[in-house]
Amino acid sequence: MNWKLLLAGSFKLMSRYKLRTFFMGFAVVVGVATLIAGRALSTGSEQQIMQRVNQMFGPGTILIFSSTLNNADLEAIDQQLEQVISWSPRFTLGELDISYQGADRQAAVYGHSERADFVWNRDVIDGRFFTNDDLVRSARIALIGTRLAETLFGSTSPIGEEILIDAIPFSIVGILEPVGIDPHGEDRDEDIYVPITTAMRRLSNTDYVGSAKIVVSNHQMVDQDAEQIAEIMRERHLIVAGEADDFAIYTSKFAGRSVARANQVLDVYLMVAAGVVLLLAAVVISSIMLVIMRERIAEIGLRKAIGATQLQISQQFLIEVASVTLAAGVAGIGLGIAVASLISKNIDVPMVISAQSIILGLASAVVVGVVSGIAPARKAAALDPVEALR
Amino acid sequence: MIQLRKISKTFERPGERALHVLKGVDFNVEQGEFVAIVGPSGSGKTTLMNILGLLDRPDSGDYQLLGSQVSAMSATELAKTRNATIGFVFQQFHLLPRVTATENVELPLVYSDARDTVKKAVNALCRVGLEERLSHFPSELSGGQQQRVAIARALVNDPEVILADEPTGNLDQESGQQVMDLFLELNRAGSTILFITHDQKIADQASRVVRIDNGCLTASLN
Repeated sequence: MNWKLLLAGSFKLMSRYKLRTFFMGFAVVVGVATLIAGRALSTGSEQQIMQRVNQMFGPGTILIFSSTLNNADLEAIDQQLEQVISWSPRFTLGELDISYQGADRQAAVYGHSERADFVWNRDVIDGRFFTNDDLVRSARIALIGTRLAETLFGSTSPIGEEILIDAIPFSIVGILEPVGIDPHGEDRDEDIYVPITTAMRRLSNTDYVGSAKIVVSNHQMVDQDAEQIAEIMRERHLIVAGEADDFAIYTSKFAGRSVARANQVLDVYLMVAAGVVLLLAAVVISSIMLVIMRERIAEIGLRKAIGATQLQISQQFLIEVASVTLAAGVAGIGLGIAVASLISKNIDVPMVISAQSIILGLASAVVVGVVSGIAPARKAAALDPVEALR
Repeated sequence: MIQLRKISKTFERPGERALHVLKGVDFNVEQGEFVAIVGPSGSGKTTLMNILGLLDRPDSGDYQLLGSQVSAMSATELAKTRNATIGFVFQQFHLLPRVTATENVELPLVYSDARDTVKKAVNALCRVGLEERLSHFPSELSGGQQQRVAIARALVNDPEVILADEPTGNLDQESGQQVMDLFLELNRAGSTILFITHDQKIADQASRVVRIDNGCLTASLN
């Protein structure tokens, strides 16, 4: 058997029957493109979210939330646990009225300490961060996000300008590093930071900071460290066994796990969608093949008369359909990458094309070809040459 | 070369009487013969040809081809024997439509171990006088030319015997005669040829004429 000649002959036939080749391949192109584009964007968005989670948390960080959390709690934790590297409280004021030269709007205002640039992983790109002195004095100064700076001040520098927060004048001393939109859909570049003492004394009136972030030395141990922190909190807040905690603790590990889980769901969904399209492709190809076979009965009869065995006839049909779907798979990968990059540009999510998903795309195309070719190939092989040549 | 002993073939058709197409046919063909098989429609000519060509098996009787017992061959052996020793020519030519003359002639070589397949195909087309039509598609050729492409395809593997089922049946008189001239030439060069025809004038050109009537071989002329 001369494989080279059989393959060359099959390719020639496919190129000379362009329309039927196109129809057979089209569904596979769509299915593989769905798979490739979906995986490219899902992997890209996972990486992007993980990056943001890391930015918000950093490795080896513990977040603690409690309406009755105060600085004394945090100082006690710092003293009792030697693995604590640093910590910084955060006071959330929510959306407050902002005014600059008569222009009014709202912005999310947070109280932060002078250590927030490290602990909350957000420095200034212009001007200066808070100092210990600012906190001691409860200074009326503010750091603002880049997008807010742009809306309020346009191209002029906001540093040294005065804005009103809840009708209290604050002078801007720095611009916060841009971080984009957080996983909740909030634009963090519209934020305003003020010294936490100022926030608690001048903008609100409370002794509780509400939340804090604690950085520990070994990021592998965050879950155990979090349990020790919980113990200290229970002790200080007089919570007895069996009583519900009045605080909540999250670790960077926990956040990473939930992102991974959310992405797994998306991945499974995409796989199922692509699988359904490819299954439909198999059905379409199988029926086209059966119709084509009717047109090719004389050809099959002839091939048998000139010496093709049943096996060779079915091999030929399988090779023909598998090479159409393989070619369609290659086209589908191209289309998938094109679609993914188009979407990626429009929704600002990076795309990641892995060798794994390309192999998966090609393999599923060939599998669809072989699966949909089996029935027609067997039917062709079983034809009686005497009948077929009549 | 070909020895048939008491070959019988019956077609069972549901709801109808069984059809005894061949009733104990004895038939020998020697190397280098040029045999015409004639007979009315439905007399069993084509069934005989299909059995000779290993496309169909008889219900009973004995068939020896080149000293081998055909009934003992597996389906794969039959396919290999068809490829290597038999060249078929059909009334409807059976060329692949969107495939050039050379590629059509190359087709039997797909199922053999032959090398230089293009060269062999071109040689075969030269033997039938179509050296000018190598890359033409069947639709670009006349009926006579298409049948000559089919004959080239039958020749390309150097078969021991050429079986032709009404090779001139779809051709006008002139093209039909050209095909017969080609057969005569091939036969003079050593090919063994068996063909079926309805046309007495065509049959008369063979070195031997066999008549089938109602499933029986009745006469050998010439």
